[in-house]
Amino acid sequence: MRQTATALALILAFGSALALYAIAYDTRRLEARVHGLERTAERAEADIAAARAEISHLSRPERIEPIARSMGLTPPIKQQFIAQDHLPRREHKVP
Amino acid sequence: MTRGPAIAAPSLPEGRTLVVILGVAALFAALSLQLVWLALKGQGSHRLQMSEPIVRTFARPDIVDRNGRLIATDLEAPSLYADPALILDIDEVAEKLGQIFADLDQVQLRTMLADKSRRFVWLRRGLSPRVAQRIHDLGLPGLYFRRELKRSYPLGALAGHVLGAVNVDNRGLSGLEKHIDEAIGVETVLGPRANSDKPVQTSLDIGVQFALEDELARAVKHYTAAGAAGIVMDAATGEIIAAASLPTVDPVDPTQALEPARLDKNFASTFELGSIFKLVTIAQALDSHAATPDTVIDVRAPLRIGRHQIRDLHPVGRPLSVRDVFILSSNVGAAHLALAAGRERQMAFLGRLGLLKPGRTEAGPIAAPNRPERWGEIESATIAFGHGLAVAPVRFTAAAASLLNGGRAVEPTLLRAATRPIGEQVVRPETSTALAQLMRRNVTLPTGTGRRAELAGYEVGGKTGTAEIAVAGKYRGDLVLSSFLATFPTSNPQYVLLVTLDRPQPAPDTGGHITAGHNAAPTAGRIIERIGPLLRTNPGTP
Repeated sequence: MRQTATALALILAFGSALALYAIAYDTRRLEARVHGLERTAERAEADIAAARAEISHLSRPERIEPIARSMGLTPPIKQQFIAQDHLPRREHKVP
Repeated sequence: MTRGPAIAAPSLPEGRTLVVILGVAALFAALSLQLVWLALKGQGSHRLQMSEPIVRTFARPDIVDRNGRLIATDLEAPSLYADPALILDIDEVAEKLGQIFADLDQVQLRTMLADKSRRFVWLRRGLSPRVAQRIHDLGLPGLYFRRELKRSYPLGALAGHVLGAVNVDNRGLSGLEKHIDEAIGVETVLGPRANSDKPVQTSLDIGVQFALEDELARAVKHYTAAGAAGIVMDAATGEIIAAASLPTVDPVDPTQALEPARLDKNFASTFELGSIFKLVTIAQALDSHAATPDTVIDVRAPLRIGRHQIRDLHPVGRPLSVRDVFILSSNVGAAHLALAAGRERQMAFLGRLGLLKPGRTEAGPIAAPNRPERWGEIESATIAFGHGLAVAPVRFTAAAASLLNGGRAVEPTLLRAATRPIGEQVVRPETSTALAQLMRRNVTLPTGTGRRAELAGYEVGGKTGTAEIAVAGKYRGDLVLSSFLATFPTSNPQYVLLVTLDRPQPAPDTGGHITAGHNAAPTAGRIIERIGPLLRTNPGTP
C-alpha cells in the first residue's frame, strides 16, 4: 500500500513537472510570437506613416499647381458661371 | 543523589540517508564552483548588459490642415551612437565618419571617443536610410544604430513660421509644435513607437497657404521689397486659414527663425499700419452716431495741433463726406473724427477691438502693441490714420474681422473647432454693413485707392495703407510699409485678407509709385483670384 502511494506520488510529481515544462515552453513560444506580431504591427505602422508622408509630399500644391497650369487649367472666372434663370430652356418633345 | 539520563553517543547516518546528504553536498559544491567560475571569467558580458543605454524620445501627434491633409508627422529614422570602450581605433573612426559627414567636428569627436568610461555617445541623430547603410558598410566596431522618431514635414517649408520646430529629441521648441507639448501632450517612448493620439487639426488650408506664399514671393520679387506678410482669416470665427511671412523659415532648421530678417512679421512684429486704421476710426464715428457716411467734414485746410500740422497726401480742396474721407484716404478728415470722439473713447474703442493688448495664439505670443508714451491730442489724431500706434498684423486682422462680421469680437486662432463661444458685440450690425459697403466702394469707384484689387464676381472690398517707416526717429518718404486690407464677399463678409509689403520699390507697372494702391492692392487681387475657388466662394455664385 505504502509503496503504491509512493509510486503514484512519484508519477504525479513527474507528470506535473512535465506539464509545467510544457506550459513554460509554450508560454515562451507564445511570448516570442506576441513580440514578433507587435514588431510586425510597429513596422506596418511605420510603413503606413511613411506612405502617408509620401502621399502628402507628392500631392503638395507646390508640385501639383505647375502641373495643372501646364495642362491649361486656371482658377475659374466669372464668365464661366451662369445663373440658372439664364440657362436656355430645353423643349420637351412628346413622343 | 540522583543521576541524569545517559546521553547516547551520536551515530553515523546509514544507507539511503548518507546517499541523500552526500548528494545535496555535491550539488552545493557544484553551485559554489560555478559562482567562483562566473566571478572570475564572465564579467564583461554582464557589465555590458547593466550599462545598456536607455534613451527616451517623444512621440508627437500628427498635424493636419482644416481638410485633414497631412502637414507634419513622425517617421522612424536610424540614429548613430558609439560605445567608446569598444572602439578599437579612434583615428580610423574619425577619418571614415569625416568622409560621410563633412561638417563633423573632428576634435569634439575624438575627445568623446577617447573617454572610455562613457559607454554611450550620440554621434548623429535622424539619419536617412542611405547614410545609415554607408556607415554600416564601414564595418567599424563600437558604432551602433538606434531607431527613433524624427519629425517630418512633407510640405517642406510651407507655413514654417506657424508650425515652429522641434529639437533632436522630438520636443517642441516653438510655434504650434511647442503648443502641442504644452497644451496637448506628447508621449514618452523608448523606441520608434508612433503617437496613438488623434491628429491636431489646424485651421490652416494648405492650398490657400501655398497660394498666399507664392503670390507674396512674386510680389517681393516684382516690387523689390525687403519682405512681405499676409494673413487670411475666417471673419466669423477668427480662424487663421493662412499666414505667411517672407523670408520664410524651414521647420527642419530651427536656427533660421533666429535671423532678424526672418522674424515672423504677422505675430512677432508690430507696425504702424497707416491708413487701413481709418477703418477703425470711421467705425467708431458711425457706431457712436457721431457721424453718418454722408456727414461732411471740412478738410480744406491742414489741421494744426500745437506745433504739429496734419495734412493730406493729395488735398482735394473741398469738404468731404465721411464716405469720401475713407475712399480718398483723408488724414485730416480721420483726425477730425478722432478728435471729436476724444482720447478716452478712442482708447476704449481700440481696447474693445483688442488693439491695445498683446495676446497669444497657438503659435506663440503676439507682440505687444507699441503705444505712445503720452497719449494726447496729437497722438489721438495721428493714430486715427495709422501712425503713432504699432500693432501686430494678426491683431489688426482680427480687429477688422470683428468689425466686418456683423460686429462680434473674434480672437485669432490656429486650431479648428466645431463650436466657439459667441464674442462680445463690439459694433452694431448696421455699422458693420456700412463699413463693408465703404470698402466695396473703395474698390469699385474709379477714384478708389483700392480699385486695382477689383476682381469680377468676388465682391472684393478693401482699404489701402501706405505708412512711412521711421529711421533714426525720422519718417522717410522713400521707405514705406504698404498694406491692403481686403474682405470678400462684401455682401456678407466671410474672409478678411491683410497683405503687407515691406519697403517696396517702384516697378514698371506702378508709374514710379510705391503706394499701396499700386502694389499691395493688385497683390491682394491676385491672391483672392487664387484662393477664392479654394474657399468655395466661386465668382458669380450667390
